[in-house]
Amino acid sequence: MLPPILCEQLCSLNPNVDRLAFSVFFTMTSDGLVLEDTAPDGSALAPEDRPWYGRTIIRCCARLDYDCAQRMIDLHRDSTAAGTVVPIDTLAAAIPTRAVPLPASGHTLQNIVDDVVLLNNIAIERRKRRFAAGSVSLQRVKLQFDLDKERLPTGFHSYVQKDTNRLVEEYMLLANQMVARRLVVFCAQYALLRRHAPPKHKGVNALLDTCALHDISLDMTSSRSLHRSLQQLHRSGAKRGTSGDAGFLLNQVLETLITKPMQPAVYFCTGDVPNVEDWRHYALCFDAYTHFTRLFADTPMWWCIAC
Amino acid sequence: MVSSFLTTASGVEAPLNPINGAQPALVYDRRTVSIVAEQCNRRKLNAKRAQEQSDRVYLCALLRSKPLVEPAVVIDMGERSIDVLIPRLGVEKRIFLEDINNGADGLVRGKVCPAGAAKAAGLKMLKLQWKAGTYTLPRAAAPLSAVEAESKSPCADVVSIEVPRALTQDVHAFDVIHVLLGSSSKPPVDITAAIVHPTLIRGPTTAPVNGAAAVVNIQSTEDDDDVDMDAGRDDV
Repeated sequence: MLPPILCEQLCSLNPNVDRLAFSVFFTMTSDGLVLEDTAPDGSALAPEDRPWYGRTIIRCCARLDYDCAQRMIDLHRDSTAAGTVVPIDTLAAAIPTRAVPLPASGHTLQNIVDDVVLLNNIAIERRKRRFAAGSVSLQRVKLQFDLDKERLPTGFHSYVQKDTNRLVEEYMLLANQMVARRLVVFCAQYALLRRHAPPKHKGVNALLDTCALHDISLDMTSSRSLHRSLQQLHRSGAKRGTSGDAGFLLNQVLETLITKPMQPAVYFCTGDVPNVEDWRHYALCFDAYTHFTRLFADTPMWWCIAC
Repeated sequence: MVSSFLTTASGVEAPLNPINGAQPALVYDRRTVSIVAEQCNRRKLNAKRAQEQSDRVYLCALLRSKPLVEPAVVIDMGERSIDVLIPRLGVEKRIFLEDINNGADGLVRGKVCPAGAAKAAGLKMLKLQWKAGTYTLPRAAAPLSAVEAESKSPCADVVSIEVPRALTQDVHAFDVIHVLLGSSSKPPVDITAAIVHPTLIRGPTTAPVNGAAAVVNIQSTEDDDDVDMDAGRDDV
């Protein structure tokens, strides 16, 4: 953990204060395609519409947490289904007081809701694209505990990923990917990237043998084929029944077994890994990936000094 | 650090060092980057382990006060043990049969017996032989009929249940069995698991245990948003 003064104050995107930042600007279509050189109609992109990387001063107009953004999305979805527009009072009332955005510089709560909904819609499209392009995701149960006054656990439930988690995830992945690509072009010999090697053959073969014995169809030729197999299994599992059912449990077990031959993703210096193929990220199916949105990889120099 | 690379990559003039006015050393050499990458990997692995072990300790603390019967899926088995996954907890556990044999739950012995066509196909099967006799389960996890029937000592934490006949249970890979989860009373703290007699399972799936207290997010949400697989865990 970083000291609170850094992670809660200096580096946190608090509303209405200036923050020095690194930004990546890019243009996307409403169905989530990032435009780099050419527009969807094939014409050349104007220079100001191309991706731009650089130092910025940013100022947030509102600070939202995951729950708050999720409520905006849910309310908008419900009202769209009912063919109405959410009255702004309803919105304001549904958002917890501590998180009520106090929009600065002429922004309104309605502007913020519109943007959250738009970003979410684009994120959903991007997610589709990413999985179609070969990403695979293996979900494991993550527990959350209910604690009593003595901080002892009294109960548990599993952590549920919501729209807002996926929304943030998509743009983090995109920013990280864009930065990684840029680094590969401009400092290919000493860039700090993150790679993920494909699963180990031995483990994969053993798993495939087991699956074959039990008439489970699993294709682990690539991350794309693995994703398709998993979707197929989920569909057939859903058909078989409810959460107490063996089919449902089996899918969870398979996801666990599939993670066993998986290798850990690692940070590396591009100069140390001569073969560009080895820079790939298997699970995301990206040619290059790095951690730019995270303090984690962005502060290693502090650790080096501290250790 | 990645940010500094980006400064170089974006072609922006970097500010001079405010103290001595020197040109900033923005371009790290390859050796430094290698060292930093290694350090990041070590740190991330340690953080992940700490997270997992913290989760485990909390789960143990919970199971100590509230033992739980959960469905578990058999992943593998040997002459002396069964490996199970408890889906609702995301916990894997190896259950040693000899531990059970000596216990009060009356499991006589298990035997791996691949036979006939199953053996030829490489399918394993474990035969668990249960004695007739008295079995005990924590009150909260025992079948409701048994809890109601036993009115003598309603204060006791455990319920005794009479099983009149011996039983042989065949266990195959991917079968769902039920396990009683608790926590070891002596260090090292870990989850303990015992197989529950197949006739003593309460209803369908046990209802979630929910406390009234505030929810504490043990896992930081920020960290969940990354998508890497680190030794089998989804965290980018």
